[in-house]
Amino acid sequence: MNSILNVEGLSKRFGGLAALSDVSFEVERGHISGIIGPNGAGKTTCFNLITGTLSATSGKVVFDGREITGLPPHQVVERGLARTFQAATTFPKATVRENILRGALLRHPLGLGSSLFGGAAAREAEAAGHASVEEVMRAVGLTEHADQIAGTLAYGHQKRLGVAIGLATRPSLLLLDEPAAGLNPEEVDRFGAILQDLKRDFNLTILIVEHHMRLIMKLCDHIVVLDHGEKIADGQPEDVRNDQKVIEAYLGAEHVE
Amino acid sequence: MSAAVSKKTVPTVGASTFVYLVIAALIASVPWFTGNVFYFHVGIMVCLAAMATSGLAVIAWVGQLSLAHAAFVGLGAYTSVLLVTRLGLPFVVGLPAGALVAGAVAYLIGKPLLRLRGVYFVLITFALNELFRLVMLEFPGVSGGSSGIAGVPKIELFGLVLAEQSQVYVFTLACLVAVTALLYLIRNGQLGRRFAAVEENPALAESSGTPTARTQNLAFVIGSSIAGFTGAIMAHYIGFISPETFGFQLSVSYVIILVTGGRLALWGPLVGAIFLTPLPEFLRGALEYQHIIYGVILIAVLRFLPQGLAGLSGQLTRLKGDRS
Repeated sequence: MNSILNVEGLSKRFGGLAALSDVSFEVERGHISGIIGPNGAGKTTCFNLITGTLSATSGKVVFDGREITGLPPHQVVERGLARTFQAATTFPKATVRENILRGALLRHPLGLGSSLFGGAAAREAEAAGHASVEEVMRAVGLTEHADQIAGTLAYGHQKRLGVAIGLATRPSLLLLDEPAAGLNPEEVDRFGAILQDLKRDFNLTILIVEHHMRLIMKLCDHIVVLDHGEKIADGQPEDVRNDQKVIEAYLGAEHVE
Repeated sequence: MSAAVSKKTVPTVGASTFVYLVIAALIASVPWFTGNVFYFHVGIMVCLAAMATSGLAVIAWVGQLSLAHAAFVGLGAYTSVLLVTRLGLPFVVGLPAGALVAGAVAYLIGKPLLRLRGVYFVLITFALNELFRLVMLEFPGVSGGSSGIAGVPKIELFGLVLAEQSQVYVFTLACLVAVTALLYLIRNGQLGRRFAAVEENPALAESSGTPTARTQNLAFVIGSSIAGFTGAIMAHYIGFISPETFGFQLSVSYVIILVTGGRLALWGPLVGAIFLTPLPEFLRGALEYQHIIYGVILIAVLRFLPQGLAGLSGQLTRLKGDRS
């Protein structure tokens, strides 16, 4: 198996509370994988540990063959692992274009001198950044909103902008934290289609935390189920759907049709 | 449409910037129209306040509010004064040294300090400003103690002593233009983009590749260096410094100027300083009401102009747009 991300025995304790205990799983290159589980299962904590937003109590994260445990988020994203956030997904006071450009900076950095006084290097970086922004905007369908202030966008568009900022950092693995939360059914379908296009066009692997079962079951090649900070199942959508422990913990009576 | 927009990658001086520049030039020439020494003095104070507040603005651009800004002005002032009076070095050495020392101190304390955000950072910087004052009082051999250091030599540039107020005014005006140009360059380059990202959403900025801690520290160092630079000029113009000169009140007045002018606007510090610095000079007869007037202005600005006076034109255009 060609895995891009290996999570090994990851644990996080907040004082006496075990938010995540000994969770291990792998994400295969080129797949869309999902993490599901009831509220408080530790899904977002898991994301925060992988991306360095929180430091793990124990365990190890290996990305692309190299250990990234304990690296700060800005270095994790530099290695090619980007993430989006559940809420506060954008830079609210800036335009859509500016938002995405701030993500694109990562691949076109400038020293202090050329940042202040311009010059050929600055113009080149600026142009390359803008080209990258146009491409990302087209891919997520935000081109017509390019000059709108992010905070004034419709909620669905803000969610998409969050993905676009992550995409602009040119990741090989994109972590999406509840990208469909709060979207209406049509928007969810549209979003699912966009994700599949992005995966193909940007050569992405995607790991997604989501509550929306229909979207998860349709999109994902592989699903990890968390409950009370522990992994209770791990497998293909059909296997997970029929797993007795999962049905009890999460899907419940709602799913028994 | 998109092609036309993407051509605008290199920042150009827009029409509104040009209008601001003309207005600024007109205001700057007021003392010459009157020819009155008093107006030159007010002009110098406006320039100094605008410069110091510009430093505070750079720190505000990354989302932090420092109440220790006066202490950094003081650091620059004492550094320059001590170098000039004790070691006999010229002012042209004391001035950059003042900026350098203030920046170096900011760099050293910035790392642990900037882990704090919001109100906690405000509180720790408040304590820091008091600490500066108390430490200076504790070492009268260096600082002159509570009686301060009097008779600080006048500003001297390569043998030219700026004895006249009008000469000092030209010098401070030139310094203010340089500081404002620096702010303009920061804002329109990649650095400004990173600053704004950190201010608007630090978690997202960090996760999209901007090292937030280092970026905030850089802003703190730049802002404090500008404060130290201003302090050196201030000390040699006024001719007297004491620990009390750089107390909490001065820090607060910079915050008021910044908020009144516009916390995140390029022209905020300048507009705020032009509006507020002359007030006490003209209100000499009503000294006891001065703080009340400041308070009322601040409340009015916060209530009606959350983006400050510099955001006024933008707010008016939006109003007009809403009506039509």
